[in-house]
Amino acid sequence: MAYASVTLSNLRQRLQDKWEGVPFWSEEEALTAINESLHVWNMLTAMWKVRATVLTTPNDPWVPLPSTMTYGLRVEFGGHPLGLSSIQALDLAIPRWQGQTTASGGSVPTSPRVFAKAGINLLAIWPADAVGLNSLVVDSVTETPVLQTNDDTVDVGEEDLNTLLGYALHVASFKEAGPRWQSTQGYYRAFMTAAADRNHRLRTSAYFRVAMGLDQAPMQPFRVRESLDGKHQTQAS
Amino acid sequence: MSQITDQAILSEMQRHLIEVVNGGLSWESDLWTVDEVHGYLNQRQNRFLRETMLLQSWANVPYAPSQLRHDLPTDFVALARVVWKSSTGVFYGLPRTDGFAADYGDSDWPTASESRPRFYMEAETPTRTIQVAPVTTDTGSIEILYVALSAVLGNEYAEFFTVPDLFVPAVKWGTLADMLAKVGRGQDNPRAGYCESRYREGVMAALLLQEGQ
Repeated sequence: MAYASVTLSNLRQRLQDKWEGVPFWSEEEALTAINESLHVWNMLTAMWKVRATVLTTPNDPWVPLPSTMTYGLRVEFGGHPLGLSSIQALDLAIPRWQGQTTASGGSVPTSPRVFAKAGINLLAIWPADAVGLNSLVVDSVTETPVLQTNDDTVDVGEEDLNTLLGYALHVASFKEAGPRWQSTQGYYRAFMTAAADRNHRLRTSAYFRVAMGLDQAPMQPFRVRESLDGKHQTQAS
Repeated sequence: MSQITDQAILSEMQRHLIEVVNGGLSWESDLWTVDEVHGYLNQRQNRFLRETMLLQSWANVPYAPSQLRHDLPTDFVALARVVWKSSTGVFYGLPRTDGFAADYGDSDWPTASESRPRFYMEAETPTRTIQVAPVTTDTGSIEILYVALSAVLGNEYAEFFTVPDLFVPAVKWGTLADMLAKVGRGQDNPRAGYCESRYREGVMAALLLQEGQ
């Protein structure tokens, strides 16, 4: 993948190239449309990630993630990866997990082995760290870069730029409504398809398959219309 | 919490709707009022959080021994998990049930007393109240994971969105859906439908990334 550090100035110029000679959009609208394309891209593909350290609290299995981390993907404790589980699985497999710590003894491990997510802002580790103030290394999706000045840069693959700018054009066209905006729907579908190429889970969702234009069935309902002789006929629209 | 402010998004919406851009301080077309738009924005953000259970908070609910019903936090929106913590510090997860199932499964549950509660209910209880049963004389506590109300948007000063920045566009599109679906001169059903689908896209993405949790 050819990553490029692209400036806002460059993105604006490329977006301008997609517009007609007398644009119906201001510089500010170009900026917000570009930033929205980055946000939605990060939502769909988890594009921008960060590694950060979070400290454990003594005997507390709950670990809140800082607001700069959107959701945790992988966790290490003392250089060892923690297995991914779920709160429900922990409840079923280890009913008293929440009260167990690394000092519990018996069959309870002496260091955290498993993490589970509660929503996207909270992690639970099992067993809880009895000592506390130890480091959990968390790989997570981070906040989307927000471009504000022309020299601001964003790391993005060159092959994705056209897709991102197509989405930005689609959003900017929204205010025009009518056929002009409708004609940019293809940019939106291309954006969704490119996102699904990076995140295959999107293809498992009926919602996203329709958004990509893959499943058209729900958009072509059968209609019943009355024929000239008064009998009803059923046909696909 | 997001680093995007409500005023920035209100300005974006004003550009989408070809209004005078001023951070949502006025809607010059008179198609919408300021308070109305703020209401749509807040409702969509809270609805997004409830539908996705994206951000969860932890709270300890005071337990009055031998009482069935207990008040939930004032910022409560939806329950994700309920745990009984006994006076000796042992945790027990409580499964959710309802009065119908409890009545048929164990008709003595309203009066029976056991060493600890076995389940919780919220279907028949008053708003913002949880019921755990059977009652117990143990002086334990109820711990919950829940979705809390978001920050109130549309104040005098810029307020950050509670939803993470990735999902702010979904809240914006949802608000636009409410505005464009309003019966009146500004009604635009095709674009309202599009906006609603973009809101739904955010909800689906949030649910997809939590799959298996």
